[in-house]
Amino acid sequence: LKGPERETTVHLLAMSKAMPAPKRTFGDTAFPIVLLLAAASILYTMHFVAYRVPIEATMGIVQKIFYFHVPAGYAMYVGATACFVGSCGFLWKGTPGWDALARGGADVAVAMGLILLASGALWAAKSWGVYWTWDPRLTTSLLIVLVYVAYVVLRSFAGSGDAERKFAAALGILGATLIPIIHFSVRLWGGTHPQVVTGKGGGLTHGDMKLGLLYGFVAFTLLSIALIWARARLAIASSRVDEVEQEAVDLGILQD
Amino acid sequence: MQNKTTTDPAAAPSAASSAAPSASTSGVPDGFQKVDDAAPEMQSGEALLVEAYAFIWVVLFGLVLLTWLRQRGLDVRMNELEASIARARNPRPPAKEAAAKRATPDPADGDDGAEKAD
Repeated sequence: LKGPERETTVHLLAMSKAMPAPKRTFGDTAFPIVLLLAAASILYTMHFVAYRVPIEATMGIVQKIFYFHVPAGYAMYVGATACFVGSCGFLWKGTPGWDALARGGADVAVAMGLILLASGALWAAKSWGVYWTWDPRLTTSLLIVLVYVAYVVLRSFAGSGDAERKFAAALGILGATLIPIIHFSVRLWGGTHPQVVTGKGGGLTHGDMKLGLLYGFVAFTLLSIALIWARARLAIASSRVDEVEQEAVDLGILQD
Repeated sequence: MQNKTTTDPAAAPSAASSAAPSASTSGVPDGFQKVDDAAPEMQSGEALLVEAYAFIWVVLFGLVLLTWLRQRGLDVRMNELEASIARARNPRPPAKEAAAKRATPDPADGDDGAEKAD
């Protein structure tokens, strides 16, 4: 190479030495696999519920909402637990990784909570005749979703300062304390909401009904893990961009 | 909404008068009154099931799409910032000056060489 091309090449080589290529981590390989498994299991569950699971005698076809409604509630617990663990870890260690886990968990708790509430309301419209009633389980579920909506709104609009992160972490811990209250609300206060899975009445008499629910749990477990992971990666990337922006400000490239 | 209290024909006029909205002389309703013990509207189970599944998919796709778009935006921003920082730390010699240096016939006479190159 001669002339300006050589200069450019030398300059690019110098840049590549200054910025070594990032190493491919275990997470970079495992994440797409989890994502693919989650997508495949969701599709298989939908197929199984649609074609193999029998129609329920009393409620009819609308009962098939159950195979996604209950796993969505469970996935909301998974998200809330991740947010709780991340929040505790952040308050203890103060590292961005724990904070990212908490953010990912809260995002998933909100998404799954919305699915839980909406699918439950549509099912209730048929089986109870109303979309909503102030039943203990419904009310406490709404409350926990609102707590995580508050968390997400706080993190989105209140900046990423240390005080905001600590306040959000406290909110994440508070939200998780509602989980046992929701879970045992039917036993504690009664209400209209049935106890099909944990109760002794047992609505799942047919083997394919039980399998459909099992596949739903597997699919939503994988889905919630994949989504928490994706959102946590996003939060880490966002935090890294903030750091690099600060570096650029220090170098006088950007204005604060 | 159906009114269960109107099943008895004898009671129908009084029930209807209590349930129906009050009408003006022109026959156009000018107010609303609630109906007690209204039967729940019958909804199609198939439609509700489709609505529920559609909502699930919209939420999940929305979350995945938002995540992907935000991640892409962050990647672009990070690349821009890293390139800017690298340029600031390793300033590239201007191409014209480098070309002028090479075009200089006599190292002792740099100014003339630069003029030739320009």
